[in-house]
Amino acid sequence: MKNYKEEIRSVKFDVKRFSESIECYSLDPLMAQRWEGMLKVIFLSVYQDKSYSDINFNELDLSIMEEAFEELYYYEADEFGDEDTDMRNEGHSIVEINRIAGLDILMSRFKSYLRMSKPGRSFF
Amino acid sequence: MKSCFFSVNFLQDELSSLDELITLKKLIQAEFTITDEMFNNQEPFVCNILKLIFNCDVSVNDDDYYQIELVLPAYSEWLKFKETFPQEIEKAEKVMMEIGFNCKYGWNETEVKFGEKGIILQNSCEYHNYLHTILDDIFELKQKWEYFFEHIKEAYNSGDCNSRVDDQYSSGQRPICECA
Repeated sequence: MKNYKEEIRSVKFDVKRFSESIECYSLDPLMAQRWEGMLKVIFLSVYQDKSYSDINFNELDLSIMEEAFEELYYYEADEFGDEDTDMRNEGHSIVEINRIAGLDILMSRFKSYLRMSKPGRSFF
Repeated sequence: MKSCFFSVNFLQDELSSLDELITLKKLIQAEFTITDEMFNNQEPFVCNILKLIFNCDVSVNDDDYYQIELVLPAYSEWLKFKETFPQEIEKAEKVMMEIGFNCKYGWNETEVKFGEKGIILQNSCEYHNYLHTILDDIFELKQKWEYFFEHIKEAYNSGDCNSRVDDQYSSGQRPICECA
């Protein structure tokens, strides 16, 4: 069985591809900059194992960090997943960021993994 | 389409992690020095942060409510001043107790109390608030504590009845002697 936690963490290498993809969306440059900043913050807290001494806080923008926190706070947990939850989360920055970053592909693989795993088993 | 799978527990863990990151960022901006030692002990993150901000020890009591007492070195003097200027100290404590500590997220509230060894921060329900949301209130509490302590100490040492506590935090100024 593959280590899916490791696979999630490997997504950090997609940051460059995300930056390129976001240009394809022809977003306002400032908006794109904020999204990229938010992606970095979410990666940092969610997808990467780092000690605090490894983090360069000068690279992080406080307002973007707070925005990322708010996004994460208001995200509807997927374990209650139904169509309503999906609708509530649709358009959520995390969903959009993950979509652009290609995390939706990983999600479909997680779904397969969940189907194979025993009930109640946690892969995080 | 869903994003990467985020369970409730996973989200709570990551929100705590992000809360710590934002707290550290704010502390760095406020020119506090973050050291690795802060993460090398078993104490809760909030205790380490309070120790750093107030430069004091803390004691934790979670029998009824989750309480953190800031064991302030100067607090014994504060109690001494209280005997001389009870009304002035009461007013100062009231001003500090009125700090909002309004966490933007959830229903938790933090109350300021004054204990035997120092200032007590008591939470109404959960373990602690998202710290970054109340960090400015903690800075405000420190600022007010230092302000009141220094001014009342000055009046106590001078013994000057015409000394005034220039209370920038509440309306009205009265000579210390009127309060004592």
